[in-house]
Amino acid sequence: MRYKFKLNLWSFLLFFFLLVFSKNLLAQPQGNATKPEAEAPPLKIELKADKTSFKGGEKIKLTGKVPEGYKVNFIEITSKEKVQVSRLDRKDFKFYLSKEIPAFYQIWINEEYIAKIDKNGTVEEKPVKEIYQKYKQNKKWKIGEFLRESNANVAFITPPKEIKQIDVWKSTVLRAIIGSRGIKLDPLTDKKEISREAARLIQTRLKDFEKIFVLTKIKNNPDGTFEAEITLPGNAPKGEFNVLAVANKEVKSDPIQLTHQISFPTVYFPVAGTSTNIFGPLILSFAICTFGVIMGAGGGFILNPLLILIYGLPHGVVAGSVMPTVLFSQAAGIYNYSKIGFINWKLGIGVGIFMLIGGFIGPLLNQFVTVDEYKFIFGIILLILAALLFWQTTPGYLEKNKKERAILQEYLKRAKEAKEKKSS
Amino acid sequence: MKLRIEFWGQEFYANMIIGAIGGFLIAVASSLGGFGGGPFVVPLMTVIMGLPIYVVVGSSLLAIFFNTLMASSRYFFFGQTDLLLFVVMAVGAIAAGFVGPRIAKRLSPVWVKRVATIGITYLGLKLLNVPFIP
Repeated sequence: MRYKFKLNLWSFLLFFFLLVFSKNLLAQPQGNATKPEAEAPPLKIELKADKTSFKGGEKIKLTGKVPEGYKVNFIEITSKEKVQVSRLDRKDFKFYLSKEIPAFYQIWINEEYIAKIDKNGTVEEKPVKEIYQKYKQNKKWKIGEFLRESNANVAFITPPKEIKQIDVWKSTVLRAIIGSRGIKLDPLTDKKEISREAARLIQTRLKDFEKIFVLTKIKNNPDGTFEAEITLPGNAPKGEFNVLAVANKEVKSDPIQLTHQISFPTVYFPVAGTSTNIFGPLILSFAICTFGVIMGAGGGFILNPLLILIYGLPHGVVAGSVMPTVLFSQAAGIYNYSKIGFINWKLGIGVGIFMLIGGFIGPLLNQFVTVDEYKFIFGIILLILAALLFWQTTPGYLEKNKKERAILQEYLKRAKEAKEKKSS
Repeated sequence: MKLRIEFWGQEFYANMIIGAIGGFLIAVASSLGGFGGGPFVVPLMTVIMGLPIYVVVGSSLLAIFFNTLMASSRYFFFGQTDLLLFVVMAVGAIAAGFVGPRIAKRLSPVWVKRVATIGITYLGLKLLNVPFIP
Protein backbone atom coordinates (compact mmCIF):
# COMPACT_ATOMS: atom_id res chain seq x y z
CA MET A 1 0.00 0.00 0.00
CA ARG A 2 2.68 2.37 1.08
CA TYR A 3 4.82 1.38 -1.77
CA LYS A 4 2.02 1.98 -4.16
CA PHE A 5 1.46 5.38 -2.72
CA LYS A 6 5.11 6.15 -2.98
CA LEU A 7 5.03 5.11 -6.57
CA ASN A 8 2.07 7.31 -7.14
CA LEU A 9 3.86 10.17 -5.47
CA TRP A 10 6.88 9.58 -7.68
CA SER A 11 4.75 9.31 -10.73
CA PHE A 12 2.93 12.45 -9.65
CA LEU A 13 6.24 14.29 -9.26
CA LEU A 14 7.39 12.96 -12.59
CA PHE A 15 4.14 14.06 -14.17
CA PHE A 16 4.45 17.47 -12.54
CA PHE A 17 8.03 17.78 -13.72
CA LEU A 18 7.08 16.90 -17.29
CA LEU A 19 4.20 19.33 -17.16
CA VAL A 20 6.43 22.23 -16.09
CA PHE A 21 9.36 21.54 -18.36
CA SER A 22 7.51 20.12 -21.34
CA LYS A 23 7.03 23.60 -22.66
CA ASN A 24 10.76 24.11 -22.74
CA LEU A 25 11.50 20.68 -24.11
CA LEU A 26 8.97 21.00 -26.87
CA ALA A 27 9.74 24.60 -27.62
CA GLN A 28 13.44 24.01 -27.94
CA PRO A 29 13.52 22.87 -31.60
CA GLN A 30 11.13 25.62 -32.65
CA GLY A 31 13.24 28.24 -30.94
CA ASN A 32 16.31 27.03 -32.77
CA ALA A 33 14.69 27.51 -36.14
CA THR A 34 13.78 31.13 -35.58
CA LYS A 35 16.89 32.04 -33.66
CA PRO A 36 18.95 33.92 -36.32
CA GLU A 37 16.08 36.27 -37.06
CA ALA A 38 14.83 36.74 -33.55
CA GLU A 39 18.14 37.42 -31.87
CA ALA A 40 19.29 40.98 -32.12
CA PRO A 41 22.85 40.77 -33.47
CA PRO A 42 22.69 38.69 -36.65
CA LEU A 43 25.74 37.12 -38.25
CA LYS A 44 28.09 39.80 -39.48
CA ILE A 45 30.91 39.81 -41.97
CA GLU A 46 34.01 41.63 -40.85
CA LEU A 47 35.37 43.78 -43.66
CA LYS A 48 38.65 45.64 -43.87
CA ALA A 49 40.49 47.45 -46.63
CA ASP A 50 44.27 47.84 -46.88
CA LYS A 51 43.90 51.61 -47.36
CA THR A 52 41.44 54.35 -46.60
CA SER A 53 42.09 56.51 -49.63
CA PHE A 54 42.89 55.47 -53.16
CA LYS A 55 43.62 56.80 -56.63
CA GLY A 56 41.90 55.77 -59.83
CA GLY A 57 43.13 52.41 -61.14
CA GLU A 58 44.83 51.56 -57.87
CA LYS A 59 44.29 48.08 -56.46
CA ILE A 60 42.40 47.96 -53.20
CA LYS A 61 42.68 44.79 -51.20
CA LEU A 62 39.64 43.81 -49.18
CA THR A 63 40.01 41.22 -46.46
CA GLY A 64 37.90 40.02 -43.60
CA LYS A 65 36.15 37.18 -41.88
CA VAL A 66 32.89 35.48 -42.72
CA PRO A 67 30.71 33.56 -40.24
CA GLU A 68 31.02 29.81 -40.52
CA GLY A 69 29.21 28.27 -43.46
CA TYR A 70 28.90 31.47 -45.46
CA LYS A 71 30.83 32.97 -48.34
CA VAL A 72 31.24 36.51 -49.58
CA ASN A 73 29.40 36.59 -52.89
CA PHE A 74 28.90 40.28 -53.58
CA ILE A 75 30.70 43.55 -52.94
CA GLU A 76 28.67 46.72 -53.28
CA ILE A 77 30.41 50.05 -53.97
CA THR A 78 28.47 53.31 -53.81
CA SER A 79 29.74 56.86 -54.26
CA LYS A 80 28.40 59.44 -51.85
CA GLU A 81 28.37 62.04 -54.64
CA LYS A 82 24.87 62.45 -56.01
CA VAL A 83 23.69 63.37 -59.48
CA GLN A 84 20.32 64.12 -61.02
CA VAL A 85 18.95 61.44 -63.32
CA SER A 86 15.64 61.32 -65.13
CA ARG A 87 13.99 58.95 -67.55
CA LEU A 88 10.76 58.59 -69.44
CA ASP A 89 9.14 55.19 -69.18
CA ARG A 90 7.87 54.40 -72.67
CA LYS A 91 5.27 51.91 -71.48
CA ASP A 92 3.10 54.21 -69.39
CA PHE A 93 4.69 57.57 -70.29
CA LYS A 94 5.65 58.32 -66.74
CA PHE A 95 8.62 60.59 -66.22
CA TYR A 96 10.82 59.79 -63.22
CA LEU A 97 13.40 62.15 -61.75
CA SER A 98 15.67 61.88 -58.73
CA LYS A 99 18.45 64.16 -57.55
CA GLU A 100 19.92 61.52 -55.23
CA ILE A 101 21.30 58.94 -57.64
CA PRO A 102 24.88 57.94 -56.75
CA ALA A 103 27.33 59.25 -59.37
CA PHE A 104 29.05 55.86 -59.26
CA TYR A 105 27.68 52.45 -58.38
CA GLN A 106 29.02 48.95 -58.79
CA ILE A 107 28.29 45.45 -57.63
CA TRP A 108 31.21 43.04 -57.85
CA ILE A 109 30.09 39.44 -58.09
CA ASN A 110 31.99 36.34 -57.09
CA GLU A 111 32.51 34.47 -60.36
CA GLU A 112 32.10 31.12 -58.64
CA TYR A 113 28.72 32.02 -57.24
CA ILE A 114 25.80 29.85 -58.25
CA ALA A 115 22.56 31.77 -58.43
CA LYS A 116 19.37 30.22 -57.15
CA ILE A 117 16.10 31.14 -58.76
CA ASP A 118 12.84 30.14 -57.18
CA LYS A 119 10.48 29.15 -59.98
CA ASN A 120 7.09 28.30 -58.50
CA GLY A 121 8.59 26.45 -55.59
CA THR A 122 11.33 24.58 -57.45
CA VAL A 123 14.74 26.09 -56.95
CA GLU A 124 16.84 26.25 -60.09
CA GLU A 125 20.59 26.67 -59.89
CA LYS A 126 22.67 28.43 -62.48
CA PRO A 127 26.29 29.62 -62.40
CA VAL A 128 26.38 33.41 -62.29
CA LYS A 129 29.07 33.38 -65.01
CA GLU A 130 26.53 32.12 -67.54
CA ILE A 131 23.95 34.71 -66.56
CA TYR A 132 26.60 37.42 -66.75
CA GLN A 133 27.66 36.41 -70.28
CA LYS A 134 24.04 36.36 -71.41
CA TYR A 135 23.36 39.90 -70.16
CA LYS A 136 26.69 41.25 -71.38
CA GLN A 137 25.73 40.51 -74.97
CA ASN A 138 22.19 41.83 -74.65
CA LYS A 139 22.08 45.53 -75.52
CA LYS A 140 18.54 45.87 -74.25
CA TRP A 141 19.30 44.41 -70.84
CA LYS A 142 17.13 45.31 -67.90
CA ILE A 143 18.71 45.88 -64.54
CA GLY A 144 15.78 44.55 -62.52
CA GLU A 145 15.82 41.23 -64.36
CA PHE A 146 19.55 40.80 -63.90
CA LEU A 147 19.43 41.66 -60.19
CA ARG A 148 16.76 39.01 -59.67
CA GLU A 149 18.29 36.32 -61.85
CA SER A 150 21.79 36.65 -60.43
CA ASN A 151 20.57 37.14 -56.83
CA ALA A 152 22.60 40.37 -56.83
CA ASN A 153 19.49 42.11 -55.49
CA VAL A 154 20.59 41.02 -52.01
CA ALA A 155 23.53 43.39 -52.47
CA PHE A 156 21.43 46.24 -53.84
CA ILE A 157 21.34 47.84 -50.40
CA THR A 158 22.66 51.38 -50.32
CA PRO A 159 20.65 53.15 -53.09
CA PRO A 160 17.20 52.27 -51.71
CA LYS A 161 18.42 53.37 -48.29
CA GLU A 162 19.86 56.72 -49.43
CA ILE A 163 17.35 57.73 -52.08
CA LYS A 164 14.52 59.45 -50.30
CA GLN A 165 12.65 61.05 -53.15
CA ILE A 166 11.80 60.10 -56.70
CA ASP A 167 9.41 62.52 -58.41
CA VAL A 168 6.92 61.29 -60.96
CA TRP A 169 5.09 63.02 -63.80
CA LYS A 170 2.48 61.63 -66.15
CA SER A 171 3.50 62.91 -69.58
CA THR A 172 1.27 63.43 -72.58
CA VAL A 173 2.14 64.61 -76.07
CA LEU A 174 -0.05 67.68 -75.63
CA ARG A 175 1.73 68.65 -72.42
CA ALA A 176 5.13 68.11 -74.03
CA ILE A 177 4.18 70.48 -76.86
CA ILE A 178 3.57 73.29 -74.40
CA GLY A 179 6.90 72.47 -72.79
CA SER A 180 5.67 70.75 -69.64
CA ARG A 181 6.92 67.48 -68.15
CA GLY A 182 3.31 66.47 -67.59
CA ILE A 183 0.92 66.21 -64.67
CA LYS A 184 2.81 65.95 -61.42
CA LEU A 185 1.92 62.84 -59.46
CA ASP A 186 2.80 62.01 -55.86
CA PRO A 187 6.47 61.09 -55.40
CA LEU A 188 7.24 57.42 -54.86
CA THR A 189 6.94 56.44 -51.22
CA ASP A 190 6.74 52.65 -51.23
CA LYS A 191 10.16 51.18 -50.39
CA LYS A 192 9.83 48.50 -53.05
CA GLU A 193 8.87 50.98 -55.75
CA ILE A 194 11.75 53.30 -54.82
CA SER A 195 14.17 50.38 -54.93
CA ARG A 196 12.94 49.25 -58.35
CA GLU A 197 12.99 52.74 -59.86
CA ALA A 198 16.37 53.57 -58.26
CA ALA A 199 17.89 50.60 -60.08
CA ARG A 200 16.42 51.76 -63.38
CA LEU A 201 17.71 55.30 -62.88
CA ILE A 202 21.16 53.90 -62.09
CA GLN A 203 21.01 51.95 -65.34
CA THR A 204 19.94 55.13 -67.19
CA ARG A 205 22.90 57.01 -65.73
CA LEU A 206 25.66 54.42 -66.09
CA LYS A 207 24.14 52.63 -69.08
CA ASP A 208 26.78 49.97 -69.71
CA PHE A 209 26.19 46.60 -68.10
CA GLU A 210 29.89 46.06 -67.48
CA LYS A 211 30.20 49.44 -65.83
CA ILE A 212 27.74 48.42 -63.12
CA PHE A 213 28.38 44.71 -62.67
CA VAL A 214 31.85 43.21 -62.48
CA LEU A 215 32.76 39.54 -62.20
CA THR A 216 35.69 38.98 -59.90
CA LYS A 217 37.52 36.40 -57.89
CA ILE A 218 36.61 36.50 -54.22
CA LYS A 219 38.81 34.05 -52.41
CA ASN A 220 36.89 32.43 -49.56
CA ASN A 221 39.40 30.48 -47.45
CA PRO A 222 38.42 27.39 -45.41
CA ASP A 223 39.24 29.18 -42.15
CA GLY A 224 36.50 31.74 -42.82
CA THR A 225 38.70 34.55 -44.03
CA PHE A 226 38.30 36.04 -47.50
CA GLU A 227 40.30 38.18 -49.88
CA ALA A 228 39.24 40.27 -52.85
CA GLU A 229 40.78 42.96 -54.99
CA ILE A 230 38.84 45.85 -56.43
CA THR A 231 39.86 48.77 -58.62
CA LEU A 232 37.85 51.85 -59.36
CA PRO A 233 38.35 53.80 -62.59
CA GLY A 234 40.07 57.19 -62.65
CA ASN A 235 36.90 58.90 -63.82
CA ALA A 236 35.05 57.85 -60.68
CA PRO A 237 33.77 60.79 -58.62
CA LYS A 238 35.91 62.27 -55.89
CA GLY A 239 35.20 61.82 -52.22
CA GLU A 240 33.80 59.01 -50.14
CA PHE A 241 32.66 55.59 -51.24
CA ASN A 242 30.68 53.07 -49.23
CA VAL A 243 31.83 49.47 -49.54
CA LEU A 244 29.78 46.50 -48.34
CA ALA A 245 30.51 42.78 -48.44
CA VAL A 246 27.42 40.61 -48.78
CA ALA A 247 26.90 36.87 -48.43
CA ASN A 248 23.12 36.69 -48.64
CA LYS A 249 20.04 38.57 -47.59
CA GLU A 250 20.78 38.30 -43.87
CA VAL A 251 24.55 38.10 -43.69
CA LYS A 252 26.51 41.18 -44.64
CA SER A 253 29.13 43.56 -43.33
CA ASP A 254 28.85 47.06 -41.98
CA PRO A 255 29.81 49.62 -44.63
CA ILE A 256 33.42 50.81 -44.67
CA GLN A 257 34.51 54.10 -46.16
CA LEU A 258 37.10 54.66 -48.87
CA THR A 259 38.07 58.06 -50.22
CA HIS A 260 38.91 58.70 -53.85
CA GLN A 261 41.64 61.29 -53.92
CA ILE A 262 42.00 63.45 -56.97
CA SER A 263 44.44 66.30 -57.46
CA PHE A 264 44.80 68.97 -60.10
CA PRO A 265 44.79 68.74 -63.12
CA THR A 266 42.16 66.09 -62.49
CA VAL A 267 38.92 67.74 -61.43
CA TYR A 268 35.45 66.51 -60.59
CA PHE A 269 32.53 67.78 -62.66
CA PRO A 270 29.73 67.77 -60.10
CA VAL A 271 26.69 67.75 -62.39
CA ALA A 272 28.19 65.41 -64.96
CA GLY A 273 29.39 63.16 -62.10
CA THR A 274 32.75 62.42 -63.69
CA SER A 275 36.35 63.17 -62.79
CA THR A 276 38.74 63.89 -65.59
CA ASN A 277 41.91 65.76 -66.47
CA ILE A 278 40.76 69.33 -67.04
CA PHE A 279 43.08 69.84 -70.01
CA GLY A 280 41.36 67.12 -72.02
CA PRO A 281 38.02 68.92 -72.46
CA LEU A 282 39.81 72.29 -72.61
CA ILE A 283 42.04 71.31 -75.53
CA LEU A 284 39.13 69.54 -77.21
CA SER A 285 36.97 72.65 -76.90
CA PHE A 286 39.75 74.91 -78.18
CA ALA A 287 40.62 72.70 -81.16
CA ILE A 288 37.04 72.07 -82.23
CA CYS A 289 35.93 75.69 -81.78
CA THR A 290 38.96 76.95 -83.75
CA PHE A 291 37.99 74.62 -86.56
CA GLY A 292 34.38 75.79 -86.18
CA VAL A 293 35.37 79.44 -86.48
CA ILE A 294 37.44 78.68 -89.60
CA MET A 295 34.64 76.85 -91.37
CA GLY A 296 32.05 79.40 -90.25
CA ALA A 297 29.83 77.14 -88.15
CA GLY A 298 29.93 76.93 -84.39
CA GLY A 299 31.80 74.18 -82.60
CA GLY A 300 28.83 72.60 -80.78
CA PHE A 301 28.06 70.31 -83.70
CA ILE A 302 31.26 68.39 -83.28
CA LEU A 303 31.95 69.13 -79.64
CA ASN A 304 28.78 67.62 -78.18
CA PRO A 305 29.00 64.16 -79.75
CA LEU A 306 32.71 63.99 -78.96
CA LEU A 307 32.12 64.81 -75.29
CA ILE A 308 29.61 61.96 -75.18
CA LEU A 309 31.71 59.49 -77.17
CA ILE A 310 35.04 60.23 -75.43
CA TYR A 311 34.04 61.07 -71.86
CA GLY A 312 30.68 59.36 -71.65
CA LEU A 313 29.02 62.43 -70.18
CA PRO A 314 25.20 62.45 -69.96
CA HIS A 315 23.72 64.09 -73.06
CA GLY A 316 21.55 66.46 -71.02
CA VAL A 317 24.55 67.85 -69.18
CA VAL A 318 26.57 68.20 -72.38
CA ALA A 319 23.81 70.16 -74.09
CA GLY A 320 23.11 72.23 -70.99
CA SER A 321 26.76 73.17 -70.51
CA VAL A 322 27.85 73.77 -74.11
CA MET A 323 24.82 75.75 -75.22
CA PRO A 324 25.41 78.79 -72.96
CA THR A 325 29.03 79.15 -74.13
CA VAL A 326 27.92 80.70 -77.44
CA LEU A 327 25.78 83.34 -75.68
CA PHE A 328 28.70 85.76 -75.32
CA SER A 329 29.97 85.52 -78.86
CA GLN A 330 26.42 85.91 -80.16
CA ALA A 331 25.75 88.93 -77.95
CA ALA A 332 29.05 90.50 -79.05
CA GLY A 333 28.19 89.86 -82.69
CA ILE A 334 24.73 91.40 -82.32
CA TYR A 335 26.23 94.43 -80.60
CA ASN A 336 28.82 94.94 -83.34
CA TYR A 337 26.32 94.56 -86.18
CA SER A 338 23.76 96.82 -84.50
CA LYS A 339 26.36 99.56 -84.09
CA ILE A 340 26.68 99.82 -87.86
CA GLY A 341 22.95 99.35 -88.43
CA PHE A 342 23.32 95.93 -89.94
CA ILE A 343 20.47 94.23 -88.17
CA ASN A 344 16.91 94.21 -89.39
CA TRP A 345 15.03 94.08 -86.12
CA LYS A 346 11.71 93.20 -87.72
CA LEU A 347 13.13 90.11 -89.40
CA GLY A 348 15.36 89.11 -86.47
CA ILE A 349 12.62 89.36 -83.85
CA GLY A 350 9.96 87.93 -86.18
CA VAL A 351 11.85 84.70 -86.71
CA GLY A 352 13.39 84.95 -83.23
CA ILE A 353 10.03 84.64 -81.45
CA PHE A 354 9.42 81.27 -83.09
CA MET A 355 12.95 80.20 -82.27
CA LEU A 356 12.26 81.25 -78.68
CA ILE A 357 9.32 78.85 -78.57
CA GLY A 358 11.46 76.12 -80.11
CA GLY A 359 14.14 76.76 -77.51
CA PHE A 360 11.52 76.28 -74.80
CA ILE A 361 10.56 72.80 -76.02
CA GLY A 362 13.95 71.42 -77.11
CA PRO A 363 15.54 71.06 -73.65
CA LEU A 364 12.45 69.19 -72.46
CA LEU A 365 12.66 66.75 -75.36
CA ASN A 366 16.32 66.31 -74.46
CA GLN A 367 15.17 64.91 -71.09
CA PHE A 368 12.69 62.61 -72.77
CA VAL A 369 15.10 60.95 -75.18
CA THR A 370 17.67 58.29 -74.27
CA VAL A 371 21.35 58.62 -75.13
CA ASP A 372 20.91 56.31 -78.11
CA GLU A 373 18.03 58.36 -79.47
CA TYR A 374 20.02 61.53 -78.89
CA LYS A 375 22.91 60.08 -80.88
CA PHE A 376 20.52 59.05 -83.64
CA ILE A 377 18.94 62.52 -83.91
CA PHE A 378 22.37 64.14 -83.77
CA GLY A 379 23.68 61.81 -86.46
CA ILE A 380 20.89 62.83 -88.83
CA ILE A 381 21.44 66.53 -88.08
CA LEU A 382 25.14 66.09 -88.84
CA LEU A 383 24.42 64.40 -92.16
CA ILE A 384 22.12 67.28 -93.14
CA LEU A 385 24.86 69.73 -92.12
CA ALA A 386 27.42 67.79 -94.16
CA ALA A 387 25.11 67.98 -97.19
CA LEU A 388 24.73 71.74 -96.66
CA LEU A 389 28.49 72.17 -96.42
CA PHE A 390 29.05 70.04 -99.51
CA TRP A 391 26.55 72.16 -101.41
CA GLN A 392 28.47 75.24 -100.34
CA THR A 393 31.60 73.91 -102.06
CA THR A 394 29.93 73.28 -105.42
CA PRO A 395 31.01 75.63 -108.25
CA GLY A 396 27.54 77.11 -108.81
CA TYR A 397 27.18 78.13 -105.21
CA LEU A 398 30.72 79.50 -105.04
CA GLU A 399 30.16 81.80 -107.99
CA LYS A 400 26.92 83.15 -106.61
CA ASN A 401 28.37 83.45 -103.14
CA LYS A 402 31.38 85.38 -104.47
CA LYS A 403 29.10 88.05 -105.91
CA GLU A 404 26.99 88.22 -102.76
CA ARG A 405 30.02 88.41 -100.52
CA ALA A 406 31.39 91.28 -102.62
CA ILE A 407 28.11 93.15 -102.16
CA LEU A 408 28.19 92.35 -98.45
CA GLN A 409 31.72 93.73 -98.11
CA GLU A 410 30.70 96.84 -100.01
CA TYR A 411 27.72 97.41 -97.73
CA LEU A 412 29.80 96.79 -94.61
CA LYS A 413 32.35 99.33 -95.83
CA ARG A 414 29.69 101.93 -96.52
CA ALA A 415 28.03 101.28 -93.15
CA LYS A 416 31.29 101.79 -91.33
CA GLU A 417 32.05 104.95 -93.22
CA ALA A 418 28.58 106.33 -92.52
CA LYS A 419 29.05 105.62 -88.84
CA GLU A 420 32.44 107.34 -88.76
CA LYS A 421 30.98 110.39 -90.46
CA LYS A 422 28.20 110.53 -87.88
CA SER A 423 30.53 110.29 -84.92
CA SER A 424 33.03 112.84 -86.26
CA MET B 1 1.96 86.19 -95.11
CA LYS B 2 4.70 88.44 -96.36
CA LEU B 3 6.68 90.71 -94.14
CA ARG B 4 7.95 93.92 -95.70
CA ILE B 5 11.54 94.57 -94.77
CA GLU B 6 13.47 97.75 -95.37
CA PHE B 7 17.23 97.52 -95.39
CA TRP B 8 19.47 100.38 -96.35
CA GLY B 9 16.89 101.94 -98.58
CA GLN B 10 16.00 98.66 -100.31
CA GLU B 11 12.74 96.76 -99.91
CA PHE B 12 12.38 93.01 -99.51
CA TYR B 13 9.47 90.71 -98.83
CA ALA B 14 10.10 87.82 -96.43
CA ASN B 15 7.76 84.83 -96.31
CA MET B 16 7.11 84.67 -92.59
CA ILE B 17 5.18 81.39 -92.65
CA ILE B 18 8.29 79.60 -93.90
CA GLY B 19 10.41 81.68 -91.53
CA ALA B 20 8.26 80.78 -88.54
CA ILE B 21 8.00 77.04 -89.21
CA GLY B 22 11.63 76.73 -90.27
CA GLY B 23 12.88 78.79 -87.35
CA PHE B 24 10.80 76.80 -84.90
CA LEU B 25 12.00 73.42 -86.17
CA ILE B 26 15.64 74.50 -86.26
CA ALA B 27 15.29 75.88 -82.74
CA VAL B 28 13.81 72.61 -81.41
CA ALA B 29 16.59 70.56 -83.01
CA SER B 30 19.39 72.86 -81.97
CA SER B 31 18.23 73.28 -78.37
CA LEU B 32 17.66 69.52 -78.09
CA GLY B 33 21.18 68.90 -79.33
CA GLY B 34 22.74 71.86 -77.54
CA PHE B 35 24.39 73.75 -80.39
CA GLY B 36 23.84 77.12 -82.08
CA GLY B 37 21.66 76.98 -85.18
CA GLY B 38 23.70 79.35 -87.36
CA PRO B 39 24.60 77.03 -90.25
CA PHE B 40 20.91 76.16 -90.63
CA VAL B 41 19.26 79.53 -90.09
CA VAL B 42 21.45 81.35 -92.63
CA PRO B 43 20.52 78.97 -95.51
CA LEU B 44 16.88 79.11 -94.35
CA MET B 45 16.82 82.87 -94.70
CA THR B 46 18.92 83.12 -97.86
CA VAL B 47 17.90 80.09 -99.91
CA ILE B 48 14.35 79.36 -98.77
CA MET B 49 13.19 82.85 -97.84
CA GLY B 50 15.16 84.39 -100.69
CA LEU B 51 16.84 87.22 -98.80
CA PRO B 52 20.30 88.50 -99.75
CA ILE B 53 23.16 87.58 -97.46
CA TYR B 54 23.82 91.14 -96.29
CA VAL B 55 20.34 91.32 -94.79
CA VAL B 56 20.76 87.94 -93.15
CA VAL B 57 24.18 88.06 -91.41
CA GLY B 58 23.12 90.28 -88.51
CA SER B 59 19.44 89.43 -88.34
CA SER B 60 19.98 85.66 -88.23
CA LEU B 61 22.32 86.15 -85.29
CA LEU B 62 19.57 88.03 -83.46
CA ALA B 63 17.04 85.27 -84.17
CA ILE B 64 19.42 82.56 -82.93
CA PHE B 65 20.19 84.55 -79.82
CA PHE B 66 16.54 84.22 -78.72
CA ASN B 67 16.81 80.44 -79.01
CA THR B 68 20.15 80.19 -77.22
CA LEU B 69 19.04 82.42 -74.37
CA MET B 70 15.79 80.53 -73.80
CA ALA B 71 17.33 77.05 -74.12
CA SER B 72 20.29 77.92 -71.87
CA SER B 73 18.04 79.18 -69.10
CA ARG B 74 15.75 76.15 -69.46
CA TYR B 75 18.74 73.80 -69.10
CA PHE B 76 19.99 75.81 -66.16
CA PHE B 77 16.69 75.57 -64.29
CA PHE B 78 16.42 71.86 -65.10
CA GLY B 79 19.69 71.52 -63.18
CA GLN B 80 21.57 70.24 -66.22
CA THR B 81 24.24 72.91 -66.48
CA ASP B 82 27.59 71.84 -65.07
CA LEU B 83 29.17 75.19 -64.26
CA LEU B 84 32.71 73.83 -64.27
CA LEU B 85 32.23 72.15 -67.64
CA PHE B 86 30.64 75.38 -68.90
CA VAL B 87 33.66 77.44 -67.80
CA VAL B 88 36.10 74.98 -69.40
CA MET B 89 34.14 74.97 -72.67
CA ALA B 90 33.78 78.78 -72.64
CA VAL B 91 37.52 79.34 -72.11
CA GLY B 92 38.29 77.04 -75.05
CA ALA B 93 35.70 78.77 -77.23
CA ILE B 94 36.86 82.29 -76.39
CA ALA B 95 40.50 81.39 -77.08
CA ALA B 96 39.37 79.86 -80.37
CA GLY B 97 37.61 83.15 -81.19
CA PHE B 98 40.99 84.92 -81.12
CA VAL B 99 43.04 82.26 -82.87
CA GLY B 100 40.50 81.06 -85.45
CA PRO B 101 40.26 84.19 -87.66
CA ARG B 102 44.06 84.44 -87.85
CA ILE B 103 44.38 80.90 -89.16
CA ALA B 104 41.34 81.35 -91.42
CA LYS B 105 43.14 84.11 -93.37
CA ARG B 106 45.80 81.67 -94.52
CA LEU B 107 43.46 78.88 -95.54
CA SER B 108 41.20 78.43 -98.50
CA PRO B 109 37.63 78.46 -97.14
CA VAL B 110 36.49 75.99 -99.79
CA TRP B 111 39.05 73.43 -98.73
CA VAL B 112 38.21 73.92 -95.08
CA LYS B 113 34.57 73.19 -95.92
CA ARG B 114 35.54 70.09 -97.89
CA VAL B 115 37.51 68.73 -94.96
CA ALA B 116 34.63 69.60 -92.63
CA THR B 117 32.16 67.79 -94.92
CA ILE B 118 34.17 64.59 -94.67
CA GLY B 119 34.73 64.91 -90.93
CA ILE B 120 31.09 65.67 -90.15
CA THR B 121 29.83 62.88 -92.41
CA TYR B 122 32.10 60.45 -90.60
CA LEU B 123 30.93 61.62 -87.18
CA GLY B 124 27.30 61.48 -88.28
CA LEU B 125 27.62 57.91 -89.54
CA LYS B 126 29.39 56.92 -86.34
CA LEU B 127 26.57 58.35 -84.24
CA LEU B 128 24.04 56.46 -86.36
CA ASN B 129 25.92 53.26 -85.53
CA VAL B 130 26.43 52.39 -89.18
CA PRO B 131 28.36 49.11 -89.34
CA PHE B 132 31.93 48.90 -90.69
CA ILE B 133 32.83 52.33 -89.34
CA PRO B 134 35.85 52.19 -87.05
